Amino acid sequence: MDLESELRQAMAEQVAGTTAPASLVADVKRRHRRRKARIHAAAGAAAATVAALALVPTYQSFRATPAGNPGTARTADGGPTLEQPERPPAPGSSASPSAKGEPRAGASSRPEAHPSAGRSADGPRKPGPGGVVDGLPGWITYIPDGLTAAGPCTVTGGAERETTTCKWRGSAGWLEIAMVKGSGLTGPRDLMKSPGLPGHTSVRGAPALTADRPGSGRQISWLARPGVGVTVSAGGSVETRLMRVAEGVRP
Amino acid sequence: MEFVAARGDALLRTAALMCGARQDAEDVLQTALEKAYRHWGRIEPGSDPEPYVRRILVNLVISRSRRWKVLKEIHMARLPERPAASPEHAVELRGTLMDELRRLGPRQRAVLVLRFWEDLSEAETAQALGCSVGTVKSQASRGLARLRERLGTNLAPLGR
Repeated sequence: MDLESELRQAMAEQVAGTTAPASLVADVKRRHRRRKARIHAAAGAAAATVAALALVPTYQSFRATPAGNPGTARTADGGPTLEQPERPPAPGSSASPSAKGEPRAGASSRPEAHPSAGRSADGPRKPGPGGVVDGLPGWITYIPDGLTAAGPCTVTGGAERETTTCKWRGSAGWLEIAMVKGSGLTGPRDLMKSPGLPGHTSVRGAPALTADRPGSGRQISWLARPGVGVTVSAGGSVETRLMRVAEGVRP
Repeated sequence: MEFVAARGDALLRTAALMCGARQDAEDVLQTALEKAYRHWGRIEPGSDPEPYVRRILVNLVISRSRRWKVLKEIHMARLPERPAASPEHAVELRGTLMDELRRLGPRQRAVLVLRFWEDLSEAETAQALGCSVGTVKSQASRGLARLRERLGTNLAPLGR
């Protein structure tokens, strides 16, 4: 007798009394059902997780604070509201130069402003320095409550350096946002109006400088992109919302 | 289901020999049959499903043995105690053979079970294991050699 035969005999003796249970088929079916249920549950959980991950940013974007408060953003004379210029003008209202497809003087190519109530009769402005941009520019997305536009945004300077300035005043203090476009801008220091040692911070990832303005208020300046700088100045209680306003400026 | 009724005992015995424990064998066999049931469409109509099920069974046993080996290495700070072979047990050659068979690696054990219990040819064993015939030959040879070596003096009555 050799090892192989002995091994065969040993294995036969080992499993001589081994028989499959009568419930084997039922057990297999039950295991199959359990597996299917587990897979469905896992798939449902994964789908719910993906849906939640996709919906949260969408919900957050809906919850984002709109530019200004419609209730407080009207000018004293009932002029234009501080609505976003991306919204189309109401039908029948006075047509703006941009709505007619004509170029606007002193303003960027983006649709930035609505006309004031009394300017439609003046017709489109002529190109050149010192123009006026009415209403709220589209690149400003947040204005604190309690402020009212001090007037339409103004555009000064020439082709080399053009500055668009918008101002608000109110019981909460004052706010001034200036966007400077020019090829000579090398950094936020070029935009600083205040003397003294500036503080360093960042606005949406861009390096920024902050400084206290002489007398009152604070300012923050940064280059939003090459050739485009922004300075936000604020006084009064609005000063505490300076960074929030700066984060909302998207030139 | 007719297949399970007809071949359930044989498959359970094969699983028991490869696993070494009855409870493990039943669990592995149920898993293998469930897997085969899930993919029953892959079996050509009219062909014998047993090689397919046996291959699933062998793969499951080998995978499970590897996983348990890793778990044992992680959880056991010292080697597990082995029962001391009594003089009476030593003379029971077949019992010793089975003990030594369980101590072989899962792949070598599967080769020996398929070759000497299922009486499969080398080619059929290679197909069940998903390896070459040469691998089956070498694994069977090494497995038998290891059994001979471990049995030591117990092989003397066999004249080897």
